[in-house]
Amino acid sequence: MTDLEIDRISDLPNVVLEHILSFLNTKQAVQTSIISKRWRNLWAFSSRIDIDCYHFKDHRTFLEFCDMVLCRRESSYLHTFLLRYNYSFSPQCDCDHLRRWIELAMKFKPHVCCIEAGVPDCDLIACNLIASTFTCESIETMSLCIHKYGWYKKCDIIPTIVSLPRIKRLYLTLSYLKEDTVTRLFAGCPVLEDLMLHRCSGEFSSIFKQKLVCLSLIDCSLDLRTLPKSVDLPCLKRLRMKELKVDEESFARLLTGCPLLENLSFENCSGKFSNLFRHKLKCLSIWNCDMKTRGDKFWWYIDRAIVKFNLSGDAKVFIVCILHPLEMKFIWDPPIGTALDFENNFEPKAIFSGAECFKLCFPDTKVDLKKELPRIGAFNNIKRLSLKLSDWCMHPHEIDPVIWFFQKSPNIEDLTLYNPKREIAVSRRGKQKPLILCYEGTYYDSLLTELSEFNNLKRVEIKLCKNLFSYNNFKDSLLQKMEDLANVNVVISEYDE
Amino acid sequence: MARSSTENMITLMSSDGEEFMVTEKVARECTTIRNMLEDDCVITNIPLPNVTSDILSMVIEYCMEHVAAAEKAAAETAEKGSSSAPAAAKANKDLEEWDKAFMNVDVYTLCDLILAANYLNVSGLLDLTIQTAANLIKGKSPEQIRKTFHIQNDLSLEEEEKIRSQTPWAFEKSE
Repeated sequence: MTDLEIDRISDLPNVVLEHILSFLNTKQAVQTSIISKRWRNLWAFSSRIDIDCYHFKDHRTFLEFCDMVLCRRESSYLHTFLLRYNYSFSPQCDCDHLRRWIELAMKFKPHVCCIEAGVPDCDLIACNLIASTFTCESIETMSLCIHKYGWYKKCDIIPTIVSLPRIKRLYLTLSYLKEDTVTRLFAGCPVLEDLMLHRCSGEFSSIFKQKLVCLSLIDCSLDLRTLPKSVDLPCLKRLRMKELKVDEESFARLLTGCPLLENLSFENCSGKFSNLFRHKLKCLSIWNCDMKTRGDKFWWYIDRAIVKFNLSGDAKVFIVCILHPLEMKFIWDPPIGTALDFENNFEPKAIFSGAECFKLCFPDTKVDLKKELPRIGAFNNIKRLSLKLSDWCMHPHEIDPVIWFFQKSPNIEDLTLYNPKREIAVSRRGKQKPLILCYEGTYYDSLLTELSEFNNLKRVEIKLCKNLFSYNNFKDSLLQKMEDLANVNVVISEYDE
Repeated sequence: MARSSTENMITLMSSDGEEFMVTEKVARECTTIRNMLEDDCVITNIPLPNVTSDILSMVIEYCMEHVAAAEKAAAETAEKGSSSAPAAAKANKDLEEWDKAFMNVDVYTLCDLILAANYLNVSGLLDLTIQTAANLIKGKSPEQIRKTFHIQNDLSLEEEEKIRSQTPWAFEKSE
């Protein structure tokens, strides 16, 4: 027997093996009891309970398993409690049994508690099921998704007594909230910093008067225009909003109430908001927002921020003025056939020229870069450049956007290229072989010639799509070619499309 | 500014008698050694009877890489006055990739690394190795786990049957 065939893991001390088991779900942890005598009872010391009803044949075995896990527990220390349960799993279930079980689990004083449960159509049952979690004083992080089975109907789950003196992070999904429940909730959570409401509804404008550091409103179909007159979020640093209607006035009010805001993110929001980014933001991210400008020209002033744009086809593009962005990530992903017109849509010099790091991603767009690129100024500050361009952008026999970017960015230190040639279209059509041929030719030779001109270049990463990465010795031959670059760290990796 | 020439060097001695000279900063990544240094600051030679030279050299490699990354980040912050978020994110990603490559070892070495990280109390390395071991177990049947880690099943058929019958729900197949 060589060293490599010796059982080494069973020599590890119990505390280490228990730690390893705490990464497994509880069902699998219990299965390890038949590995050998050494593993017989280890699972019972795991600091995590993680049970999913879908891992069981029926409701009875699920509940019996739950009971067994608690009564066989050897350790009194429980860090994390995770439960996923659905009433549809067995209509004859009794939620009472499960409720008592959750109450027992809370006696182990977990720090993290996540419960996802579909319950019968009754607010009282839903509320009772998890009422014990709201008085579990050890909890620091809690995520609750309680919905009425079948329709994903929202539940009013905040019980009468809330006492969570240590909770910092609370994530509620599919909750129905009222002003008085929100008031009760915050009164019972004195150190709450991070609140996320996901698909919640009701009246909860009093959340805009709390000492939160981080607030996320995701798919709450909230109309910001109904915001209370005074917004007072004096500690708020991060605000994330998805599926939200805004207008200028309400948005200005919101931002005035958040003096410390650093990180702002919009996804799928609609309405008018402009002239608002005078804030000293560190990070602004705008994804798929429909910001109708109706002929107005909007100027956004963004100073020294990480800016990420992802614009969908419907977005009417506006004029953006970004002063000294630290990082630009620009993703343009409208339906095929929509052309990007830099001249009418952007103030090009202002938007790009100051960036140190520039990521350009045109995954599947008919952008005639040959026409558009010369209109953008030089990128003297760019040190890190990442290009992910679709085949539409490429004109193999004329100006190549990749080469063009090199010529305009003399100070590149770090370059990432997503296999910058025509293979995407070819592989989409199901013919995977011919695409290789255009790589084995002179493409990388000319790329190499260009790259050797850069004195500052320290690192080049070429990302190849999966089928190309594994094709013959393509990766190795490419690596060999790139060896000619002196003092440059070359990495070739694969990515999933 | 600390320079390497003025920095204290510590000698770590492995169980098989090999000596490794490292800077005090690198040695301090191991909480166990840090505690020893704090108790007795003139100590310069530390025998580590539980760690072989192969494994010790790997632990040192890990500590050096992580100290270098932390120093680089601190230097950048000092230079620019504030840390640049994208650069920090990039550095983190590089370090993660380094960790991932570092974990490309056989299970025997992995277990030895866990033991060493546990003994020397290098929290980052302990988390990394334990997570790697857990990933090797995840989703595997008991039989596959035995095979992966070369574990001899010393339970008799009757014993195994008894355990299964005590917790039958753990072994049923879900639909």
